[in-house]
Amino acid sequence: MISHARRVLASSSIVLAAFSVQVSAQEMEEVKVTFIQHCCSGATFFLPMQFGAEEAARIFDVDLTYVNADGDAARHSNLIQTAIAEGQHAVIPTITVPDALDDAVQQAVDAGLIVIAQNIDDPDGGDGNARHAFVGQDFIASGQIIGRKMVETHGLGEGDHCLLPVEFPELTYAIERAQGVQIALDEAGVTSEVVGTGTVDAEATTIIAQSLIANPNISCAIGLGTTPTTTIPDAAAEVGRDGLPNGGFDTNPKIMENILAGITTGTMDQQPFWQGFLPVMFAAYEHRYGLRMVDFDTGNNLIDAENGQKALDWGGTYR
Amino acid sequence: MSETGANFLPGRYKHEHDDTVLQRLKRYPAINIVVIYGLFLVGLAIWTIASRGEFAFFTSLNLSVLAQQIPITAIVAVGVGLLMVSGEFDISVAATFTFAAFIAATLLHEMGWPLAVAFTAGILCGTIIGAINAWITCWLGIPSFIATIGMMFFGRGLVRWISINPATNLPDSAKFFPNEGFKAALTGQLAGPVFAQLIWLIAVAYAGHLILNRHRLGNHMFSAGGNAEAARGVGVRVRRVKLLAFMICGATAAFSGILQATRISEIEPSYVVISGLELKAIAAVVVGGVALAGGRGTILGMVLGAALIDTVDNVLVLASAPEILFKGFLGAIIILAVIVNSVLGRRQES
Repeated sequence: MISHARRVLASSSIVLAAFSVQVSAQEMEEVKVTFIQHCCSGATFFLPMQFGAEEAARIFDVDLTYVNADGDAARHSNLIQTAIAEGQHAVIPTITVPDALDDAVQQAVDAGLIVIAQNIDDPDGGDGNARHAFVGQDFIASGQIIGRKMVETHGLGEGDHCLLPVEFPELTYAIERAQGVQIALDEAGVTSEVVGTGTVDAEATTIIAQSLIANPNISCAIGLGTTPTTTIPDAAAEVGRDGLPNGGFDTNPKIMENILAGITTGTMDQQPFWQGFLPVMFAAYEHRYGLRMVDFDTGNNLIDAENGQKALDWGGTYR
Repeated sequence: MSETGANFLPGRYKHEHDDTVLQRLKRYPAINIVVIYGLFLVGLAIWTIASRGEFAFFTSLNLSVLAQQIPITAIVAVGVGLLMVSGEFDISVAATFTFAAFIAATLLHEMGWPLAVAFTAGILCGTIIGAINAWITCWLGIPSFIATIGMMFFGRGLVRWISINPATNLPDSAKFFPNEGFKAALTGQLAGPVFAQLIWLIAVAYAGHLILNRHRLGNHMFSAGGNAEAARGVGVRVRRVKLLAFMICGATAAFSGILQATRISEIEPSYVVISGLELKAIAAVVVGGVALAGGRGTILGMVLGAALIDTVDNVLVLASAPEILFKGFLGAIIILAVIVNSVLGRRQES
């Protein structure tokens, strides 16, 4: 009897669940979103971002198109216009350079699309172009945090000189992170120089190693992006500078291993998962329920040896 | 629009009056890429109808995107294609493209030069880079593949150097805000999805056609690319022909770079490293039927090859192709197009 009641209860639950899912699905208006990642397919930094965007798409029933612009502003502009042509409800670009996307973003807003910038914003924020919101890191603030961490941990001061390697020195993220780091270094009287590395680890290792050879006075290195932060320890080891104080930005398994091994002091985690997840969620809720999205600072999260284990455990997905 | 080195085959016009239209079409040198691109468009039309208009390829706005993108690639491809017909490569076109735009922007905004002079100086820079490539290749005897790889790296360095912002001492993107008249003339919307870039592409392609098929220089390009020794034997000044081809290649890359900068009002120094424009242009002309060894090719093929690559790219976005497989799809379709083109070409020759 009990077992029969359980079966009836279970069957009813399944029918009810199926019914409620159907009702929810009917209530769920379709939301079509194009997510434009600015850089290069397969770069490890962007894996959690894509994972986050896809997870949000699953949870919030979003039809997601995830594409990359190959670092080309003209292609990025084309992709925004293609999203308009496709009748997407939202487009999520990266404002890597101040002006190149202004017209396309304005066109998207005029066409009624929700436009949420992620990862990198216009230097003038919302005044710089027509995007509705930005989800990403405050580069200057996070630069100051890692700069001060390096100064305090290694007792840097007058006479010290830091190398600041970065993939693309001309892009907004690099300029603002360098500004933030330099503010902290200036407080301690530390000087710095920037070098461009590109996004290929092997090439970055060589360039950083050559910079260390060229300037033996370099007494610390702070990578302003994933690639240099990953490769500084190897480059230092190659030229016999093991133990060179180093830190940087972003996370990936190798950076986390170096932090946990005490080789790298710390890294500023901008939490790319949130940069993928939140804009997709915001777009879905804005389109369905009219909830206004907000600017969201995803990343002044300093990771060091004490709190790094989870970032290593979940590398490539949530971290 | 154009013809090939097959012009020189004896008896080409022998049966012209006896041929049917179909036979003449079959012999038309660019027919393969015309058929491939045509079938591709037909497939997209069927897809659009089957999806009841959901598939947005033929919307005015999407065609606008293509009308602005294809000319950028195709103008570079025409220059690269003419050079390949002459038997040489240029791997430095992305550097030339970016450097010329930086020169024009710097002269206009930082040095206050008149727009016309800044524009001309940009094109001139591209032409000079082409001439230097020619000098290294033809006078010093360094293979163009190596010489232009060297120029590619040198150009990247120049771009980094010229893009340094004195305020930050870092490379920075350059603004390019020419006056409205200039912007409208280069990139303005004429009607619906027709933009000025398309007119410039037609102008460049027609000029290329005239050079290749209506001028002695074109005959000399085919002969220099097909068999340089034989060409020398009949009095063709091969080095001079190749010098002109290199200069045209540099000028078209520079012009395309300025077109792009005018459209998006900005030039990024990183473009020179990560755009892959040089390989895209070579892929376009090979897809369009230009022989890698030189001596064969058509302007229409070069343009349609570029159009095919940009159209495939656009369709992959519209189809929400998985991002991680994107380049793989694009590469596979390029390889497929080259294979089909080669097979049809061999059948045509036989």
